[in-house]
Amino acid sequence: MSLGLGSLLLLETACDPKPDDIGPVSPTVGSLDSIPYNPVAYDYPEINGLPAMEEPSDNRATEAGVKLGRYLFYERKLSIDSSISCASCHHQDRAFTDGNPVGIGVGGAVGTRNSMSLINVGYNWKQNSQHNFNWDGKFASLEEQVLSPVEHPLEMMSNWEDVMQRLKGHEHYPRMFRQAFGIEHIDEMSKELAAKALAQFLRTLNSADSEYDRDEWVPFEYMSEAAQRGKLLFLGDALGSASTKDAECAHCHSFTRDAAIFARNSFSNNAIDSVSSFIEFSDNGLGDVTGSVVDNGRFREVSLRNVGLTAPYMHDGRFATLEEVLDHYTDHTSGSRGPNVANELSTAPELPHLTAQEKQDIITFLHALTDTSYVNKAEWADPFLQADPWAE
Amino acid sequence: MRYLSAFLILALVGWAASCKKDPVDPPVEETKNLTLNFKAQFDGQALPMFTDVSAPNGENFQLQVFNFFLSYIEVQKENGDWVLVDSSAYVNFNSLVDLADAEAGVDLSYSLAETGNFTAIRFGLGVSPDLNAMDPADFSSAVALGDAGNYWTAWDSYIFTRTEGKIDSLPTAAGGDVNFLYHSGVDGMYQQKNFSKQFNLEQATSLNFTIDIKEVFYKVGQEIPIADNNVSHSGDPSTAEYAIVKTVITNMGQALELQ
Ligand code: HEC
Ligand code: HEC
Repeated sequence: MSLGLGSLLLLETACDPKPDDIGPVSPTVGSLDSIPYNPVAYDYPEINGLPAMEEPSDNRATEAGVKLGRYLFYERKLSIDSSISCASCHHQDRAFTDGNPVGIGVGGAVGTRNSMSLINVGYNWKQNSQHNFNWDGKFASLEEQVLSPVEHPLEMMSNWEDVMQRLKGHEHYPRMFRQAFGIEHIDEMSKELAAKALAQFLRTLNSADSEYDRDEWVPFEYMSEAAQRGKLLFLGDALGSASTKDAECAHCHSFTRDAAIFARNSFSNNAIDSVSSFIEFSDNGLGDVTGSVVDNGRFREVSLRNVGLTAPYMHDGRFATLEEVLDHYTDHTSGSRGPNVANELSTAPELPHLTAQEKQDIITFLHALTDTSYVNKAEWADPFLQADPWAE
Repeated sequence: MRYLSAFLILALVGWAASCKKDPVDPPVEETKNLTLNFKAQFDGQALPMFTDVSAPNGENFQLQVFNFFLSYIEVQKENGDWVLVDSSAYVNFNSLVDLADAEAGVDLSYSLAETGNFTAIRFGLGVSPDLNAMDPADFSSAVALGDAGNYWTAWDSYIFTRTEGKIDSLPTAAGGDVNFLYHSGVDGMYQQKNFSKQFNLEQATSLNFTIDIKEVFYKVGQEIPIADNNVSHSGDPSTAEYAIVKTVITNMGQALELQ
């Protein structure tokens, strides 16, 4: 839609020609149509192991849209007292998580959920699903999700009306909104367009350059033997080899060679709470979103790419280390942990019997999913640390 | 300056295009004239997920996860020609937890350009070998084949059917619930189904299928030994794992009826 709308606006301009002079924005008048609107489609790099990125038809990424999204992502004016930005909880060098058990908002407000990684976040979108984002699947689209932190009472604590007032009065954002979306007037700057820009930026945060990826795609580069053994355990049933134990991880953290996301992104109860009925979970997760009690205690089967960088773990950050995670899976996933414990876990015949060495091998494999190629990547970094952030 | 002229060129192109007035119609919802409805039952009664029913051997049986792929749904015209309705569809009962939802079942709805009289419908239960040779990355996320979660990399195969749930303690067993999980996959398991049925697509038509879960797990002579072997995700054709899910999907194919 944005591109469509953009070109429609462009067409109108064309039928009703305006003077060609490109003057500065006049904040008093608020007209932006003297600023060139020259949308260039963003070209997603092809990455081995990742499918083509899907975008909603009404929000095709453009260079200017992605750039605006990046600025907004690092913009502290999105929080009530201009103290934090999205990046305060989503650090580039931690795969866009923050190292805390739960998110810390304005004034040190303690949230309830663990900040999620944003690497490859665009792949979490399934077109016909209503439950794609957040631990509990509250949001269908990235465009919806990114609106929420600004008004969240434990996150940025602001409201979009105020935020848009600030952005409209800013020296540079009106121009950037014009360049991204072709709007003709400052009054057309809206939270919906801000959300589209943020979503465009997030859909560019794609990377798959870990030891696992190089083992898969680069000739003669291999993971360590421990990681190879861990992969077989993780995948299970591998290649019909009867001797390999099966840790059953890949049911839920699924991957294929060409779609190596390591997430099913459906919802299940992986038994981290021990309950005897559907109404005892400390956080109902998906159940509060769908209103169906059998969904209580179900959370999203998230990607395990970069887990080496994203401790602590689970929706509430309860496990500090991958060792604790593995101990949980081997020791506490029987069906007696609750009425809807995922059957992939409760029926797993060998999972409870993994040896210490086998658990360590799985952890080594999880570390082989760590990709550090982007931690200093300039295009994703804080633009306000650049010498001249507003240079065009 | 180069920036500016690029803008002018774009604007000119836009100008030329814009003067052919393009009517912007709201998208029209195509009317669906063929609905395939699927209901899961147990002994003829609607079977919601997470609901105990009493099995012929006296144990309680509960289904918690139930879904399957269909491939190449085709309907046959009076002249014998087969018309493709859909190359792949996914029937998922997981969210049907309430009785009313279970009674309503799952609908697959299509708008078919071909109308007139039809005499049969056929499809495969599972993922046909040609589609099973593809990878989720080859499909859009809008379809179930595009979901890596429906693929089992260890077997290079889609998961054709999922049946999961639990039975309670058997009279002879030590006690406690036995959870079960049977996922069928791999090419040898694909089941071709063909149903004769007179129908007409001049007006909207619904073809109503039922699948009786009692006939999947407790079919006389083809029982699934849940208590003895509660988990299998297919595997190598020479193994017991393979045999048990092959029986599950075979029973499913046989239990699937067109009303
Ligand atoms: C106070 C910390 C905090 C701030 C600030 C914050 N986030 Fe988050 N983010 C989180 C937490 C916590 C979650 C998980 C929320 C949940 O599941 O309830 C999350 C989840 C997400 C997700 C979902 C990822 C997925 O895979 O589902 C996206 C996208 C996201 N944040 C983007 C943003 C953007 C964009 C901003 C700025 C507008 C932002 N976040 C600001 C903590 C924060
Ligand atoms: C039944 C599906 C299922 C299986 C099988 C499964 N997981 Fe998970 N996993 C989940 C879910 C759901 C979560 C998120 C749970 C939550 O936060 O409440 C999760 C979370 C995790 C996390 C934390 C991710 C993060 O960012 O915090 C790790 C690590 C993990 N799993 C590793 C494994 C390993 C290793 C295995 C195999 C031994 C495994 N999982 C098997 C469903 C599964």
